[in-house]
Amino acid sequence: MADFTLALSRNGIKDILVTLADRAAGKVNSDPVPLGTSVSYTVSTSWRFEVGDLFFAPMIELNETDFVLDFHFKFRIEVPKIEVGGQTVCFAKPFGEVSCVTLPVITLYDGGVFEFDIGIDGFRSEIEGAIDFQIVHFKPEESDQLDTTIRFFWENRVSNAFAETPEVSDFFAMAMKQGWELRIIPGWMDFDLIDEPGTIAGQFERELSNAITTWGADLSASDRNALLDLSGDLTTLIEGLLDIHDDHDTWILARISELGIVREVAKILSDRLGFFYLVKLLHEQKFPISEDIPFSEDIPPVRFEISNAALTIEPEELRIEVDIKAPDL
Amino acid sequence: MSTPITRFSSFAIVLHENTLNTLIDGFRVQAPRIFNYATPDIFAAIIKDIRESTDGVGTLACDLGPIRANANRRRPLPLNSLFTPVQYLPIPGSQGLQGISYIFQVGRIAFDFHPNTAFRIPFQVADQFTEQSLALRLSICMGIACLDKKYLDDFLENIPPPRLPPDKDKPPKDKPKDEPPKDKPKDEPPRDGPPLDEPFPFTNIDCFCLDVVAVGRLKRRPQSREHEPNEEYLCIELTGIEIVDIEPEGMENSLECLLYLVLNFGVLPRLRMMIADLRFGKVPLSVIMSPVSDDLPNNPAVENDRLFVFLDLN
Repeated sequence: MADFTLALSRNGIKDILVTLADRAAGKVNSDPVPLGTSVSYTVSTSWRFEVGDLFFAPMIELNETDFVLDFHFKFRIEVPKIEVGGQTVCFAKPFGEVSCVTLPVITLYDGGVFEFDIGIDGFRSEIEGAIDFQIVHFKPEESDQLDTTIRFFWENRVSNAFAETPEVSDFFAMAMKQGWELRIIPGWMDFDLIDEPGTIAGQFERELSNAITTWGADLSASDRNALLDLSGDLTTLIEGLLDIHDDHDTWILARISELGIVREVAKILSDRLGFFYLVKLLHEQKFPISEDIPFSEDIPPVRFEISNAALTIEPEELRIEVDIKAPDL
Repeated sequence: MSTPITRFSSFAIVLHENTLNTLIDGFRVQAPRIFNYATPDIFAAIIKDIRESTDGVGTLACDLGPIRANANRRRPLPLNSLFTPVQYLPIPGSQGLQGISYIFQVGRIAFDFHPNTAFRIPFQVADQFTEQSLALRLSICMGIACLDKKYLDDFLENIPPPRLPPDKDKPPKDKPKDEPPKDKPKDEPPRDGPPLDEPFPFTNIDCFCLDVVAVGRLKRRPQSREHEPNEEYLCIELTGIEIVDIEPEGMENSLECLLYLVLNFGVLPRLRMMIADLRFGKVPLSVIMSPVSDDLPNNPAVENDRLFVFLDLN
């Protein structure tokens, strides 16, 4: 065993992923959206990740992790009072008189507000993938990739604002120095759309029809039919919310190709650029003598060197081992 | 494939005793001012001594090790960064401004995590070095620079004389009562001695060095009688201490007892910390020490020359 070891169990890393997934979950509520004069709806959208199985060795593999979208619609339908009668009917009597009768007003429906909810749960996508980690001792003077890297990022940089972002400039400043880098090696990635958009839209349409039939039982047949006609429009609305286009195949292919781009970018960064690191420990670690005494030419910081670093992935544990030595003064 | 370190916890940090000792030694060599203290007069005298020496080390300091190590560096640290200046020790009973000039240096410091491999543990405390124990060896040197005898009279003469008897000290009747009393008696002779606010001149430092070996343990103790796992605190407890080779034996034993009591009941209790407060990282990814159990009876654990700290996500 090395001088200093950090060990992470498979379960511990899964706990971290679950915690991060919980933090990534969220919910948004829309303002009421009118649909005509008497119907409006609000929609709340929530999303969450369900972390699947995690396997170690030889790579770190995450299986069956789902991204789940839930939609909750709340419909409000204001049905006006429906009355018949009240008209005055006049007719001639036999002796030349005209008699008028006001028909009684019969209220067919008192009017009111219907509210009902429809939940579309579990629009589910499955993500799987595997990555490997590698610890590399990076020495700028031995890197034939650094010049290319610098040219790529600094001469062709998108904007000064990007380059001057503290995180970016710190990343590059660290990248130029000798150190031990924990790099990600992309393995494979898979993306499955478990619930097809058509299925979701169909589910929505069924739910809405059931709701209208159940909650709108007191409505006249014509009113119910009018509402049912609306469901077609709402299905289109759902598709819009999901950013699902008419051509489902095109949509799915687009998602997959986006993942492909991500994978390709990660590969380029990993393979061709000399400094794509996740975590970096500088070869030389510096410690101030005290907070009151800043570094200076006369009073340098206390230095230690990381003489070796290694990473081991075993079925139940990931270990990072570091050897530390005092520098030759 | 090795047995997982984390078989009973989510995470673990393991520190070998050699690493800890390397880090401490690195600080001792590279930041000597943390380990070496001297009053300004001794500090100045040591710098003068080094500059006038042929080997760049001199002879005045009690422990020449840090000065020699600095001289051997390719780029030595400036001499004024070798020591931390400290205040003079007051002379008990004296109301003068002078104090005692002294030097205090901490030499080698080494930890040994059970079993014993890093250094020899004296037989007097060896039986205390049981499983889960750790030992600390500390070399300290200190010395007092005493007043050079040839200046004694000058300084003694400079001590203010005793006050006059009380009846002679009363103000005359014709003087107003609200006149402030004078600081010095009228008959105090003028003084030509050395100023009171300067240190005593000295020509040598009487140094001595001691090796101290302390044996102790890291212990989790419940905060209350109702033993709740999350209401424990971590403490360091001293189980044995040995000051190596000082005489007479009775004085050695008494000093050891004094240190044993002061450390166990005065100093170390101040270092106790609630386990719940020992968090690392930021929420939501902060980690906390795993609870002890039948599977994990010690946390932190001291074994195989290493310190193990087992952690779980908070």
